[in-house]
Amino acid sequence: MHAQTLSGGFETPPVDSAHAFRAVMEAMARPGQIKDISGAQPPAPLSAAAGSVLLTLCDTDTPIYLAGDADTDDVRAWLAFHTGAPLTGPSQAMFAVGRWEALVPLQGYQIGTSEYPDRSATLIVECTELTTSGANLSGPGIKSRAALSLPELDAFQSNRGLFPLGLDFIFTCGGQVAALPRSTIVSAPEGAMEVS
Amino acid sequence: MPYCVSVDAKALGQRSFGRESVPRNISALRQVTSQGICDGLPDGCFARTVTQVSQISSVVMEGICYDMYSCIGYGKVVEMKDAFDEKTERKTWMSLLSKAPAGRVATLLDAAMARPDFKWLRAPEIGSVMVQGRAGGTGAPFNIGEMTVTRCALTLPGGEVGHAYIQGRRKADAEAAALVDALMQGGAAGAVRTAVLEPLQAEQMIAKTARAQKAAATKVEFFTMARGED
Repeated sequence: MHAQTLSGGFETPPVDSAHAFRAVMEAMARPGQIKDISGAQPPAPLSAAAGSVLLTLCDTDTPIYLAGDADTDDVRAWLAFHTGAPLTGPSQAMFAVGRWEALVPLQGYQIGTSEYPDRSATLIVECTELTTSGANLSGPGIKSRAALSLPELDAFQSNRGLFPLGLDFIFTCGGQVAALPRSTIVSAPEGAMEVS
Repeated sequence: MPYCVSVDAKALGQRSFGRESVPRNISALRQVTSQGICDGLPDGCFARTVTQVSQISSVVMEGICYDMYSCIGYGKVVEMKDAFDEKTERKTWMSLLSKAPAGRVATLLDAAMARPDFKWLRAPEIGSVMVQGRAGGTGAPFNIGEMTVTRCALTLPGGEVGHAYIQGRRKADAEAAALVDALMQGGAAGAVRTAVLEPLQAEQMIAKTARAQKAAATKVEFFTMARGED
């Protein structure tokens, strides 16, 4: 056990986690808006944003799935020390974190049940860049129009088809966070529609 | 009465504290599991270990504090029964530190040496844990009650990581205990052992003996024709 893998938690947990929670909540309430989030310095390859989200939302009751290269010994030790969250596979996970290529296919995750739609997984997608351009978003929390650089379209459209069940997504990049709840309708970017 | 913990009629001196051996005839009371304290345990293992029970609640609490450490050395989930006989050196000193009276560890440590520089991995924080018990070897678990715990983790410049879980709201004690835990893993282990752990152990022994003697003095001998011994 090395000290450097255990450092990088919230400096002042009550304040930092409240700020981080506010950022996640606002991002989730306004799909397509990018918020700043900080506080945690997780071991590589996790971004500061993903680490802050995990420290804020995860505890011993939320199994986490570490997808692909996010699954390192350092990340495991760090999460265990700071959150105590158990690690599982996709089918049991309440949260999954990793790059999009590592997280797909989405069929393996819990989408909730009709009685308890909240018993579904939230995917924390690590992105190389996060911009407010790309796929068009509409639905609750979006007044006129919004756009977000999504890794693909089909997966999010079929996820919307499961509503009120389905997965929620949090996109993280460096110190920024954006979100795509299951209620958001995703359509192709306008330029692409004109072409087709 | 499925959840009733029966009271042991033996003198206190024959009960066990912590993890030491227990006379066979109170085996029905041997198992108390501690649960709900797995948030942020040092190696991420679940604290589902067994402590031995005494009927005095404070002793149960101390036992739990102690046992929260029993998983540190393993780095994995500890099966309940396996936890009984395992006793690592680190567990021994963790037990001593968590059972020490308020301020005692800090006094001994400061008398022995200047405190080294350290960095907080987790600043001292106070929380409550639900302590679960089990009546009999096969009884259903039940909640004994909540207890207050102060915990912290720190690291020395050399990279040693020290943890502390202390009963009650005692941040300064948690800091001192974590420092001792970290120092015991480094080069100063011998000095710390002589200056802190051995006095603590001696004091604990004296307290335990005094208490046992007090209880033994209340033992009542009845005159009967046959005591069932012969």
